[in-house]
Amino acid sequence: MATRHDDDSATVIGESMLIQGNLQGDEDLHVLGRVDGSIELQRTLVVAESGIVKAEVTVKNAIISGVVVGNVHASEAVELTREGRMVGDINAPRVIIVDGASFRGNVDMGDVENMPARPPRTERPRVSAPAPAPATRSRASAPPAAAPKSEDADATVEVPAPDAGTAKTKVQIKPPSGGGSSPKKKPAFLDPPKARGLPKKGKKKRSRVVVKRK
Amino acid sequence: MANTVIGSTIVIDGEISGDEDLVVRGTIKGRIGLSASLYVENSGSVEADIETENVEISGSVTGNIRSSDKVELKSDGRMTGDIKAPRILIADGAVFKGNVDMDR
Amino acid sequence: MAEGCVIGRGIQVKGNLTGGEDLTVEGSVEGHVTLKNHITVLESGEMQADISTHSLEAHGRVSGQIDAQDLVSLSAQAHVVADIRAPRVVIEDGARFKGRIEMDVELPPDL
Repeated sequence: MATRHDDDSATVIGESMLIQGNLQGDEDLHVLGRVDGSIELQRTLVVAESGIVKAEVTVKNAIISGVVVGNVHASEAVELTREGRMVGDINAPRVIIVDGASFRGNVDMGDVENMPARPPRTERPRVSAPAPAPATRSRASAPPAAAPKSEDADATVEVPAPDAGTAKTKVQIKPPSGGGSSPKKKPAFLDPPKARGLPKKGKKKRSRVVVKRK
Repeated sequence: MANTVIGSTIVIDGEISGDEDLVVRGTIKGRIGLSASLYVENSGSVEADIETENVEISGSVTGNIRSSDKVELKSDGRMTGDIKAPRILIADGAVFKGNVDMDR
Repeated sequence: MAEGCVIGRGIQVKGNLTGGEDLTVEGSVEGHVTLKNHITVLESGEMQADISTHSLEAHGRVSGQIDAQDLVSLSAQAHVVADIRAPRVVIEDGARFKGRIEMDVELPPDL
């Protein structure tokens, strides 16, 4: 019989086995059979494809390829693999659910709460940032009358203008570096008027609106 | 990996049943019901009523055993409880306290 | 390259959004979103919404309720606080998530 393998640190619950009760320990546990009750380990619980665990589980890590019904608390991670099925709540700083797995319950990763619900909008300033240099110029040159509305449209739409002249203008939105108008928050298209006037440099600006293409 | 192994740090409080061999290096309290063999190794400790086909004890067992084939208490085995089995072996050096019943 | 509708960085949408096109969110969307197609929330994007869609892929921040007919996937950069109902939900390692997930789970009969 295979009684004496000396790898002392592996506990295996075979496929035909059913344990009803509480199980605790300080080694990895592989469940190929079934455990009902509770499991408490300082190490990793592996529920194999054939395994069924109906228990309150407290472990360091859990890798679930079989069925788990019950709540799982892990101090490190819980992973539901492609074959994993679980109903219950997961409480762990890392939770991984792979496509194919099925799960119903709550997930609590704890520190998620710390994330600011609304991140500071650092991105926006960035958008307008590049433009400063041309600003003064543009402003000077921008006569209100210059462009027709159509241009406004362009600007917003992110279309590179077909003809040279317009093209440049379109993106130029740079707020005059001058104080008041500095539109950090306002996206370019909000101040079309200037845009029209701008003579050169337009091209680079374009990119800003087109950011989405990657 | 077909075998079931209860590692040395594991403590189970409850009931274990199945039809494959069970190797105990840790602790089991409660009940064990198997249609195969139970091996209680040196580090193993079982406080349970046991129903199996075979039992081989090198560790310690407290509880009653009913076996359909054979119970073997090895030289470093310790057992307190009653044994009912058609074949019973108690090695020199083993510690045993309880009743033996070999009726079939 | 994004096709469909793109809510660019710097754009904020509040209210209801409905449609049959893919939506890419780089800015912020607040309200109710009902789409027949795919929603991608990029890293810069943020949605605080009740969302009903075919599928959603989050790299940014999403909060609210997500109902998808197919797949909801949270990438490693995602921060999501939501209740998700979908047949397929994928959470990559690194994603931050809090909330409820409802998928269909087929259990053995005795569970």
